[in-house]
Amino acid sequence: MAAAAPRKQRTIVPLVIVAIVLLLAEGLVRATASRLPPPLTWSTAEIQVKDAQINARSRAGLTGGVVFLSSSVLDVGLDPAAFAADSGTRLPVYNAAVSGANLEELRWWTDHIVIPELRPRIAVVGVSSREINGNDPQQTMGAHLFFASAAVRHLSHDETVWEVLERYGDDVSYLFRYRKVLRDPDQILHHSTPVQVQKLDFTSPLGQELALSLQHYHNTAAVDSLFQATFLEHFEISPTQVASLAGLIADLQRSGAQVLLVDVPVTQQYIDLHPAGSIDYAAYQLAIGQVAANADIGFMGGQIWNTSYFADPLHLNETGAQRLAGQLATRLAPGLG
Amino acid sequence: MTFNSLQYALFLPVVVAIYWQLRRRAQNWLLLVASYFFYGVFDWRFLGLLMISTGTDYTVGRLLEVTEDERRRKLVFTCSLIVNLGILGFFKYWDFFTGEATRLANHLGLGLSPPVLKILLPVGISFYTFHGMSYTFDVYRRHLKPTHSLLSFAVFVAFFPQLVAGPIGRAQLQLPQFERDRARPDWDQTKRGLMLILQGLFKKVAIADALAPFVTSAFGSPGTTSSLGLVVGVYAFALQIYGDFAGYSDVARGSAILLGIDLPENFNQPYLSRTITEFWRRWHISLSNWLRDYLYVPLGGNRGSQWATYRNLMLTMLIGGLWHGAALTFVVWGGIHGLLLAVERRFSKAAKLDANRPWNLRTDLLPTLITFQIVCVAWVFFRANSFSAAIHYLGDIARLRGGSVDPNAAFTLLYATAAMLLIDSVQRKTHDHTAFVNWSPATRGVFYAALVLPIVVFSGGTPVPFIYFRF
Repeated sequence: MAAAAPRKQRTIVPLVIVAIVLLLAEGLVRATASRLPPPLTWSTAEIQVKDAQINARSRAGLTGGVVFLSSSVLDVGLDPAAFAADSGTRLPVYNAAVSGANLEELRWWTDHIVIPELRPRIAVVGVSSREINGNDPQQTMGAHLFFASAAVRHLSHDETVWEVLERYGDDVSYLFRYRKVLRDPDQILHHSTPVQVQKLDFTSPLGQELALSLQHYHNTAAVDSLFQATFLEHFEISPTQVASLAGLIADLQRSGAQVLLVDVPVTQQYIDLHPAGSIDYAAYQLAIGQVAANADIGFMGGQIWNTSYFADPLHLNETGAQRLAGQLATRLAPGLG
Repeated sequence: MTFNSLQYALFLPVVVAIYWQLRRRAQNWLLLVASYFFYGVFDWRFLGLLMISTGTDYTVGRLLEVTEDERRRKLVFTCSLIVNLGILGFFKYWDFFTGEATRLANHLGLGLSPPVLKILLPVGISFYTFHGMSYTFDVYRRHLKPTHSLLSFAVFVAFFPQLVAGPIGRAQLQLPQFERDRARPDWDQTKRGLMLILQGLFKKVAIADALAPFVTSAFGSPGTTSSLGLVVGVYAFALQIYGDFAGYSDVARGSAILLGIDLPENFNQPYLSRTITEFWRRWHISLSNWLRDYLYVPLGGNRGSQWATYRNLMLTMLIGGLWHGAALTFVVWGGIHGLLLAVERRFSKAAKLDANRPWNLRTDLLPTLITFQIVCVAWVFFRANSFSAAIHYLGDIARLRGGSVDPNAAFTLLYATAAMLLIDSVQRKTHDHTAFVNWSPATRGVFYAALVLPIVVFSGGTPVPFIYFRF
């Protein structure tokens, strides 16, 4: 028994010190948490910001309005404020489009976040041939990261035991929750948020991404090669993406929303960048026209605009975003009340 | 199931708890089932290969025991080599050699096109094949009496702590441990085992995985990274691979101690080496010893002329490089080390340096720094995706391209260097990998906290598999 006390002491003292150090670290993180950038639970800062905006709008009762759903083509290319002004509607208007999303990702986002939180009365779904292409590596990677993100896995009830424990750890401990931020001392020292770190992700209060709004189209070889090498690489109409579009529309209809499908305006240059040019583009238009006809919804599209409305071959700039908002306002005004 | 997974955190205590309730034979059965389960979690389809390798080596051992005729013994031994190296060669090297042969044939205008099978590499195949071969080698050379227990032998080959990434076991040292009763580790041994596990997790999670993104970034886009950024990338890789592999070995040794089994040390502060010769006495020691005893010595070792010794060194290191992976980059990496070992042997007394001589700051700092730089240059070939990519990487460093360095990369590298230096210095001074358990309770507490806190901070990132799993 005489030797037991020192041994016990030798064992307990180090453990107590470890506990004290961890508690001190926890306290320090709690004390500075308000100045730390929030840790990402979604795959991008933009989605995280939009999720927070949508939750806030839901809590404020800003539901039952007009919602825009799309990838970057409407995310940057539709000015919700201009739409509200041009249509004169009093309904809440929100741009819930997500940059880089393919249609599978957009359907999940709509089903799990947009419909339950915003309960839209009118939903405008914008697509371009890029979202229908099944061979865009950048979009595939984006979707992979989206579906692998902690928030999506939690809301899909698809978490591993470790992920569940991580979530509980996040709830209990600030040190645990902010550990990914703590790995980034440069970000902490500059007091930057993820939104500012990714300077291109700048989301307006109504959800529009303003990254490209002030840019003007310069027909550069670099942009063309980016479109050819990634967005439109081995262009092929993906049955999965087409089915996701049909499913997305059906989900919106089931929720009671009136749906308008928009084939977004593009430049002639964009059409020419497809491997088979206008033949590919016609096949895309046929495919989405068929989806609209099958769902018996409104369809607007087939517009080729000149480059003064664009930031690049596909994405509208501020002037273009306002013009499209005006067109949609005219089209939807009768139903807006 | 990796050592830094939640599954292993549950698996090990359960196995240890049941293990010490059982008698020796039942303990071996438990270890065998647990080891096959551990391996099966990676890919159960390759369990068959492990069993074939085990069955072959056991049978060959028994046949060698009952055969006196030397020619027949040689034939039996050769059969064992063919089976073991055949499995390894087919799964690991088929596509590499057929690809190279096709390229050569096309170059010569022969139009050869052997099939490329895109074969899946079984996890740890290089380790357990060498593991089993050490047994047949030793039995053939009559350095070891063959075991009569298939169970003990199967556990020796498949022992889960070392199954997929070593240390490569030596039958002479390890097999007897499975054939006799094991003593339950006392409190001091348990502490040392747990210390090794904690230390290993720190090296893996808070050093290797923390540096991994910066290494990927530097080697992924060397053309757009500044020369300084590329240098940081190489140093980061040097620490990443050390943390990753030494971390794995520490957890393996710690887990084995909890099961009453002693595994050999695999790393002994390699970056504090003063020569390349010393580096190879301290880096991946179990592989170096295996290659020395079963390849370099049978080739003639240093018993022939000087040139024969250089040839043997070169051949051993080239094959050692190829053991790491079926790619030209690994062969070049082995070749660089082989050449340097030969040069050291020819032109300096460095090769005769006693690796156990205490490290002295005044006389050893410069040679240590020079050796580390040389090792880092060779690491570029090890890490790059191709030979030309490695040359481009080194060329981009030499171009002295301006630009900034990712501050997070620089910070993480500094912190990792400081941590590894501290751990290695203490271990070097004390000749003890678990010397920390002898510190006063308060100092130990601070040290444990310094390991646990970074593990918490760097846990839960993008999972980075252990680098040596693919070998």
